Amino acid sequence: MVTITIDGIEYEAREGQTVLDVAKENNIPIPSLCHHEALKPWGACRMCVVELNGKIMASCTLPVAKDQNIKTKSELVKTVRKVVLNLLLARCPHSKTIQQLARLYGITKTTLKADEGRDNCILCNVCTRVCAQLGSSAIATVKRGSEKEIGTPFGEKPPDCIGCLSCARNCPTETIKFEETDAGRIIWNKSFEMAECSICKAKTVLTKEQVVFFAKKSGLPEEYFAKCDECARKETAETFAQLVINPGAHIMKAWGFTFGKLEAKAITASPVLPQKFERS
Amino acid sequence: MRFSNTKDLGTRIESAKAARQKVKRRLLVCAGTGCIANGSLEIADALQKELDARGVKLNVELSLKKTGCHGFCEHGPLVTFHPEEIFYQRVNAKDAAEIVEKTVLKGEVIDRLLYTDPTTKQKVTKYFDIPFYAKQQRVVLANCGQIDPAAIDDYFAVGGYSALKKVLEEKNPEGVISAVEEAGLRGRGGGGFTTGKKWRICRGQTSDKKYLICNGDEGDPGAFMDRSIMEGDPHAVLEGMMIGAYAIGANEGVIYVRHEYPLAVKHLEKAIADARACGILGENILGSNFSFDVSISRGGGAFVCGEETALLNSVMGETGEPRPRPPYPAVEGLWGKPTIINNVETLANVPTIINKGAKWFNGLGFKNSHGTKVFSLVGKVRNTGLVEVPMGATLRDIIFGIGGGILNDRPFKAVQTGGPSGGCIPASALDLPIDYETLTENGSMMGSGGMIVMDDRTCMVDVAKYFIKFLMGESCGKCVPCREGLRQMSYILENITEGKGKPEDIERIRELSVGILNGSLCALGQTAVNPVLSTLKYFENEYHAHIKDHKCPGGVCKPLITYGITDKCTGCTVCARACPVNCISGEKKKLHLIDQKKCTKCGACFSSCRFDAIEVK
Repeated sequence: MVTITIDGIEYEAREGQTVLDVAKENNIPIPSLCHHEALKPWGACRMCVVELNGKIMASCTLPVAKDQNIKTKSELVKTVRKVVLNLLLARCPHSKTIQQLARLYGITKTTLKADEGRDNCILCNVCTRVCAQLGSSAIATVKRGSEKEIGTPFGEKPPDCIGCLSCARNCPTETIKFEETDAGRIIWNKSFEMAECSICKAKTVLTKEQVVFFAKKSGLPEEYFAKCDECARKETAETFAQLVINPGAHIMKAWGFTFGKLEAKAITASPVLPQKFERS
Repeated sequence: MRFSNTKDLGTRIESAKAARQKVKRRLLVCAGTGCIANGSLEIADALQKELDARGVKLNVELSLKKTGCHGFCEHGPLVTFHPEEIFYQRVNAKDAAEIVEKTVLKGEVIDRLLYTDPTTKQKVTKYFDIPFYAKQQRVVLANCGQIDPAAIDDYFAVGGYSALKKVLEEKNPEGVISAVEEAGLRGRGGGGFTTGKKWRICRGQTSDKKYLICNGDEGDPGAFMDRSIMEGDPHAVLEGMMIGAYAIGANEGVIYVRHEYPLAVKHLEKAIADARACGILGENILGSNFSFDVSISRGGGAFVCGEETALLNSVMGETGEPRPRPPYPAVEGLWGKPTIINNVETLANVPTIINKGAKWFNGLGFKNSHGTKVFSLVGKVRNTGLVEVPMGATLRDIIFGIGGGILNDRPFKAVQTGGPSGGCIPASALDLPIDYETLTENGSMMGSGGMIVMDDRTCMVDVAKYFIKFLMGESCGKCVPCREGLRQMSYILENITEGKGKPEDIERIRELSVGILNGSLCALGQTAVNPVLSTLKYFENEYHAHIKDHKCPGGVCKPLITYGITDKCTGCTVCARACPVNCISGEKKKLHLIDQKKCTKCGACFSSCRFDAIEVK
């Protein structure tokens, strides 16, 4: 444990935490746009900046250290955040997320040249990082500098996209558009069909590509993932019922699980879960 | 010729030295990139042919060599003849016969090929009598232009690898670090961090693997000191790397060279292969426990990859974007292992420090900046090229001493140091000593050593706009202040230079600068506003002239200037004939007139007039 000071108050922090982690735990408001709890710190939006010994640092990438004296409300911090918001508001003047955040800092309209024709992407890279962390890396940034944008390989339908919508659902400015019907989805111009339930043949909430991807990643059979809500619920209920009737048998089968009617082989790979970033 | 111990290497160095002393006459053809582009390889071939035709055999007494860059590329192709130190410039393959006939065989000097001092208008025969060279102190560039970079024996002959020998024989890693620390060597690539201190941090890390990277991704427009060193003295870079690796405990090295430097890559590859064959590079170097090998990684031509963390990502095959620090590369760098990244010039200094001693190096320089620094002198000066001076020399020494003053004797206005993200320093600071701190205090920086000289016909707002646009194009686009801030900054500057600036723009620039300077992720953004802030500091009146008076004092910004003809006009009609849109009228021997409506402000009349009769307002 280390003790750090934030705005004059001492806080206990664990080694390996970032200043932003500590601030969040203690309800100290630090705004951030590119930070995502499930992803490695990125340090790009520069909204979470704080002052340390007169220097501006991004709190999301700043590891805690003994006797750190952090200021989150200094004039310099406010100025930098205001400039960042002014710039983002000029980039995407119609983004509700940016408008709301800017209003907190007293900015209602950008004083700079506004880009009216652009979408609301702020290039926080949450979409590309989520996609990479989930294992697809179907999208990435293309070009550089002020021309940088999020794109697919060669601007075509992304071959590796499994239509999981993680990019769109995690986008802080809701810029990534997708269409969803009972039968399928369209995202990044690529159409996806929903997988059929392996039991009742109804449409599931996963795309066919997702089922294949999950099965490959986990080592479990595709049928395990391809289930509609109803069948999945029914199966869970059956499993629970058997647990209550004969708990011993299930504990015995601990790692050789029986799931409903399907016998899965030993789980070799754990399902891909977002791992909390830890600095070594 | 694989050396199994340091003694064998020592013997070889001595014999190579002795062989070099036996050479009585040396004909050296510069084969740096600049001279090659001007046909120096053809000259070398022609010289060889002429020698053959006359039955002159190259032997221990006469040698013909292709060397690295001399730094005076403006006057290339260069051919020098030693020991007389005859310096021929702008040589052509057709001159080969005459050079062999007169100079090589008879020892005569060919006047036509000599350099003319632009100040005295006198022909200069000898290399070191040329003011451009006479006022330099060449330490890092000492071998460039003197040895054949593709021959390891040439490097041995000038005492090459004796520093490595000394280190392996006499010093432990700690001793090497102490020596470099005591010498006071600081990074020559931009930051100016103390090299010894950096090495010590890395040495203190416990890891199964450590890396040493040589940063040869020289990206500053007009700067070519690192290229010249890699091309002209590749073994010095390798030797520096080996000593550094020995000190920090690394056994793998990478030289990151930008893609646009094919000759540097070729020479480095040859040097690596030769060093490996000699047992100087590889497993158990010279029979010691120290193993180290080097590979070359070619960059894709992104300015930002000169930033060390972006460079690491690039080597690893990822997008060339900087990483947040901490962790610093010395702790967590290439592939997550402790890594030292040193600039080419920094590493090339290391063998000299070991050979001549830390005290010697420390004695050169000024305050906390020691040794020499290579600058790339370009712009409106008479002599442009690579110049090496001790730290603490003044800007005046370089620009007026070595550079020979401003072109066409125009008044000096400013000098931009440190590359695109450096600052512009005005005439009032010409006598300040050049060291890391003084340059920073005056709104600029040492950077990698770019030096762009500007005369009175330079618009400082236009200069700021140029550099901001360059940096905007080279920004990786990861962090908001740099990506968006530089774009907005360029809009504002564009408006000002087009006469659409508003008085509040100055305040807007200052406010943006605070955000970009403090908020950016890496040094590219943090220093990008230097050109704007320094021009605002020293030339704010020019900004006001553009905004309030709609005038460009430098006479550069087209929308704000008009060309006129004064009564100095003799009616020679040259301007009227030069004008591409035929907007100049007037009879012979009578005052001419410019039709402002048709004028495109191309400046053709201005440059063609021989009577200084065209004025820009």
